[in-house]
Parts: sequence; C-alpha cells; structure tokens
Amino acid sequence: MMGDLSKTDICELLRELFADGNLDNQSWNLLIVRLKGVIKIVSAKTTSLLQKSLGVSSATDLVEAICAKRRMDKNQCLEDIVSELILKLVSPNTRRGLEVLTSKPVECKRYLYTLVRNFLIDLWRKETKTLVVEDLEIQQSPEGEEFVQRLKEGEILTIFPKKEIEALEIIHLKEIFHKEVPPEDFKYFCYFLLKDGKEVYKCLWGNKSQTAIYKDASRKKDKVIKFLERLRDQYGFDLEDVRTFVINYLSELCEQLRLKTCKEEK
Amino acid sequence: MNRLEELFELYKLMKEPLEDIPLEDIFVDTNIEGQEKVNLPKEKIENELNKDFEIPEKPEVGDVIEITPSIDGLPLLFVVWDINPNAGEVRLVPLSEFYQFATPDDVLVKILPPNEELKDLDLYKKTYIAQPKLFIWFPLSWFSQILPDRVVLKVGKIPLGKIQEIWEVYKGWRKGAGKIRGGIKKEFKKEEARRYGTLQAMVLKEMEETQKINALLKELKAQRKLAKAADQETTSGWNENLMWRYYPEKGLLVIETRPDLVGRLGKIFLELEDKIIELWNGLLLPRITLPINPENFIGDIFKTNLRLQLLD
Repeated sequence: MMGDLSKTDICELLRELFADGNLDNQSWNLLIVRLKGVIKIVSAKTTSLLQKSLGVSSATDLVEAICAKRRMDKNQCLEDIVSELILKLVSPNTRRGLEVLTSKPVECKRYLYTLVRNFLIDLWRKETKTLVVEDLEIQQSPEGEEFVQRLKEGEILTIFPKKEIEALEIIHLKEIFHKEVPPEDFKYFCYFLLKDGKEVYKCLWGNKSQTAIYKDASRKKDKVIKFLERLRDQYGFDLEDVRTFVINYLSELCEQLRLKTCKEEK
Repeated sequence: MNRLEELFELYKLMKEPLEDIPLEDIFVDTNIEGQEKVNLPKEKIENELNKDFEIPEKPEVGDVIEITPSIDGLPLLFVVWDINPNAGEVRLVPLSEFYQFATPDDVLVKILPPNEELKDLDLYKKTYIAQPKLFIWFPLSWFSQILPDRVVLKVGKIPLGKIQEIWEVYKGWRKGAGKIRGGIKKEFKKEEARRYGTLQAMVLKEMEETQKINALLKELKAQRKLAKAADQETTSGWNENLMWRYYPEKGLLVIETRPDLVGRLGKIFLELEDKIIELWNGLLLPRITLPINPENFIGDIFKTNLRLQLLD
C-alpha cells in the first residue's frame, strides 16, 4: 500500500508522527529512507568542514569515522544512528521546536539539517576520547537522585567541588606546556622549578661538568621565566595553578625523564 | 591545535546557521522501493512522544527555559535570574554546555528535571556554564505565549543556591568556575556574546512590533473620540475563527485560534474602513498573547473588526 504522496516529504512525515504518535509501516519506511539519505549527505559535507577547520585527515566520512570508533559493521552502525536520531527528534524539546516549523517546508528542512549535523558532531565528540576527558571527570559528580538528595541535604554550593574545576585548568596548562616547550627543553624546567632540581636533574646533561651545566642552563633561564610570565599574563593562570602543575605533573614528567636518561642511577 | 582549540572549532561549526545549503540536493524526493530493515525502538519512541514540557505562564527565578527552535544550530537555554514586574521584563542568563570554556565570570550548573518522567533526558546529564555577563532582557508577557515561529519551554530548574552564586560571581564578590580568561576562552566569549546579542536584537525588534501596534491603536482611539467608558466595557468576543479576551489589569490580549486552524499559516488583524492593523502574521498557535496598553485598547473595535485570514 502506497502512502499519500504529500506524506513523502520528511517534514510531513515528522508532523504526522508528532500528531498521531505513530506511523504506518509505509511511512516509517519512508522516514527511515529519508533520514538515512540526509545522514549520508550531511556526514559527507560535515567531514569536509571538519577536515578544513580541524585538519582532521580522513579518507572516510563522519559516519564512517564514528562507526570505526564504535568498531561496528557500517550497516548495523548506520541503523543504530538512525534509531538514535529518531529518539532525538521525538524528545520533547527537539520535537516542540520542529513542530513549530513542520508546516514551513524550507525552514523545517534547514533546521533539520542543522539538527542532523550537530547530532553527528555530538556522536563524534562522544566517540573521540580526546575531546571528552573533561566530560568523564565531570560525570563523576553526583547526578540524578543522589544529586537531588544532596540538594535536599543542603549541599547546594558544594555540588561541584573546586578541585574538579582546577583539574580542567591543569589539563589546559599541560596542553600549553607541550605546545610551547619542545621536549629537548623539558630539562631546564626540571632544573629550575623542582625542589633540589639543580642537584637531582644535573644528570640530564650526561657527563658535562657542573660549570658547563650552569652556563647552558643560565642561557635558558630567561626562556623558563618568560614562559611562566606568559602563563600569568596571556593565559591568566595564577601561582596556585602553576604550583599544582609543577607538583602534580612536572615532577612526574621530570622523574620519567631522569629514569630514562640517567642510566647510571638505575 | 590543543583540545580547547579543537572544541572551539566544533562549537563554531555547530552554531553555524545555514545560509546557502542546496536543500533540494539533500532532501531529494526519490521514489522509495523495498523495505528498510531498521529495528526501531518503537516503545522508547512512543515514551518520548508522550513526554512534554510546559510553556511557563508565570516564570519564577531559577526556572530554566529553552527557546526552540534555536536561532542557530545550538540550543538556546537560559535560567530566569531576575524578574522586574514593574517593567514587565525578566532577566535571562544564558547556559552553555561548552563548560570547558569556563572563565572567572561563569558558574557551573546542572539542570534539575521538572518531574521524574523527564529525568532521563540528555539535558539533565550535562554540565553547563551560566554566563551572567551575557544576560538578556525578555518581555514577561512572552512567557504566556509563543514568539513567532518559536516556542518558550520550561525545561527545568536550578537551585536557588546557584542563583545566589550567579549573583555573587556577577558582582565580583567571588570567583566563578574557571580561572583563565584570555586566549581561546576570550574568543569563545566573543562568539557567545554575538549569539545572545542577535537574540536580544530579535527580542527588541518584536517589542518594536508590539509598540507599533500600540501606537496604531492609540492613534485610532484619538481619531474615534469615543467615550472611554464604552470602550473599556467590552473585554471579550468571538467570531467563527477565533475567541479573544482582554485582561486590562495585565495589559494582555489573549486570542484563541479555532482548534482546526491551529498550525496553519495565517494573519490576525483589525479590519478598519481605511486601513488594517496587523496583530499577528505567522503560524497560528492555540493561544496568542499580545501586550496592549489599557489606554490604547478599544473593546468594541475588537468585537466587530477582528479578523483571521489563512495564508497557506
């Protein structure tokens, strides 16, 4: 049985779904085909934008990249994505927004395009751990019933412990450090910033004399100081952030460097 | 490119509105043959379709509202921060899920669901930054109606303790969520300010429209030179397409559209001998509310001259 021709339009199909709470088999079939088509095109177009703006090198499109991350067969993965997208479209806030536009074919399709685009980018963000380390940390915060319970118990202002926020800043500081400081210069930071650094990390210079080490390090001292000043003036970190970074991260990095380089001490 | 810079690129991409997308290529109307084998989670879909948010008639401080559809690709979420009944306005603080860009001006919040039924939505699993420095003003009356082509939903609440925190951060009495202000975070703030600036401009434009209606009614009233008492007596009426009621104490005109016309495109106007005064042009909603100053309201004109014309 073929459905009404006017109901082959994706926005008409959604309008029918929202109004009746269901679709007949033919209309479901049509909606799935339409959504798959939109996903494929949006995926291809978004990939080129991502490649341009992020320098993501990939021969595949966005959906393929998501499916590869999920380690799933592409067909099964695409079916899952269609199901997830339909659930997103019928969720109350998305649905109410679309309802307003379903009678305006052009606006509706434009909006649908942005919805699908952002839905796919969201999936990609969830699948690429590099962008969601912070999400994982925050998700350890109390949620749902426990969250409400804590609110009732008057813990309103301690719901987001300060250390979680600081952790975000330290992650950022680490990124800046690795971006701006070449690995061959790490030793100068160990030498100048860590406790007893001048003694403990002199072995990073191999067999060079104390005087030679001092001369070499002195030439780089300004670079270390300038980096710290930039952290303060350009990036807005305060002394407490830098201290946390040095204690929690730099000391570990220098120790790894020492164990790797100073063989005679092993 | 570090992670924050990558995230910023994604943020910009996600909020990019569509300008010249060839929709006909994307939403191509091909013949469908064969059967698609997707095992849809029909029960879950049905459950989602049964869930709904209310339209907040009377906003309260701490309410989280969403204006949907968004003006760009990203959700438009706000927390009601302050209500000024005298000016008929509320102050809204924008919420962003890109909390990684937190600066000392922001407060981290989670949205509490309005009821148990809705608690599983993605909306409540995320962390947001409330950005008090980017607040906008919104007309109070619009909470009981819908903007043209947009709906305002109450999607949850944030605890009053957090509102207090937003005030304290705004006033500079305490530091907000993040410590860094410069670099890429500054760029993010600029983009966010632009987003909400655009919305504020749209709000102002709509307010201008209602001001225009009020000015036209005022002019009409002056021309008619009718006894004011007679005008004020009529505060409700109906015709074959709509019903209306005027609330002088609130300064609001509420028009209810005939149910079978809801969702169609139409124009609601006052048809006068020499001109028309357009009150609404767009999607016909079940209930349309317009702020009309009691001094400008002319009851018997509305009684006899209010019209609805379908445009689709």
